[in-house]
Amino acid sequence: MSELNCESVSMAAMAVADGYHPELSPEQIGTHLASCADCRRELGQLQELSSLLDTQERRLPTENLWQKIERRLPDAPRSNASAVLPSFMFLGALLLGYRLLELIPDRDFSFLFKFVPVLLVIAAFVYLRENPFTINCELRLEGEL
Amino acid sequence: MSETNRETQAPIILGQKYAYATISLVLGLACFINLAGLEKALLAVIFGWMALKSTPAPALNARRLWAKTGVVLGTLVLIVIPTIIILNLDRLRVVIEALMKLSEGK
Repeated sequence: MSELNCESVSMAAMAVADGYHPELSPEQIGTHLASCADCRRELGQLQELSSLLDTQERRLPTENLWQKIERRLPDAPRSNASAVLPSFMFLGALLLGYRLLELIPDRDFSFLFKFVPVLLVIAAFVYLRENPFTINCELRLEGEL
Repeated sequence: MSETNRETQAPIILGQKYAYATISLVLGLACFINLAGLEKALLAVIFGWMALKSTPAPALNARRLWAKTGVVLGTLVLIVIPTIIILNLDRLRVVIEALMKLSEGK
């Protein structure tokens, strides 16, 4: 059992205010407070401070920082920018080859041959998992992570 | 331009540059495709339709007429050229044969 003094009473009173059950009974606390003006004043100040702190609100994060931090980590997955250049170079070479083939005289290609570059372009975009005909809603500014 | 203005304008400028990058690539690839001009008309319709779409917000206000004109012109070509080809298939065959004879030097 706690010793009944000013310190133990004020701690017990604050514990009650915080919703805990102190070792001192409410009657013991009430009796001591009724006879001790210092404890009443101190408890009043503590309660004022507590109510002042209760009025404060924790600042809520307005954006998700994890995505930005994740990209800075050493093992973060790189963007597919490095895969785009070789793919476009390969596509360009294929299209150039197609054009040269088309320029060969005395060659009678069928009408379907004209759709070869269309298929090549579609295949390239499928491989890159990109669609040039969509509106990107996740554009980032330069320098922004 | 003030710093605040610059920050406000940055996404707008970025969006336009992104659109130019996309169009540059698509037109570059379209250079290798020759479908009687229909490929360009198709692209005009697709890009115009994308510009006029109301989703995702906000809808386009400036140059809306440009996009509409692009869609109309593209659609015209998509309708007129196949129609002319279909209606003049016999004549075209004669023309093609004549051109082939010319190229063979006969």
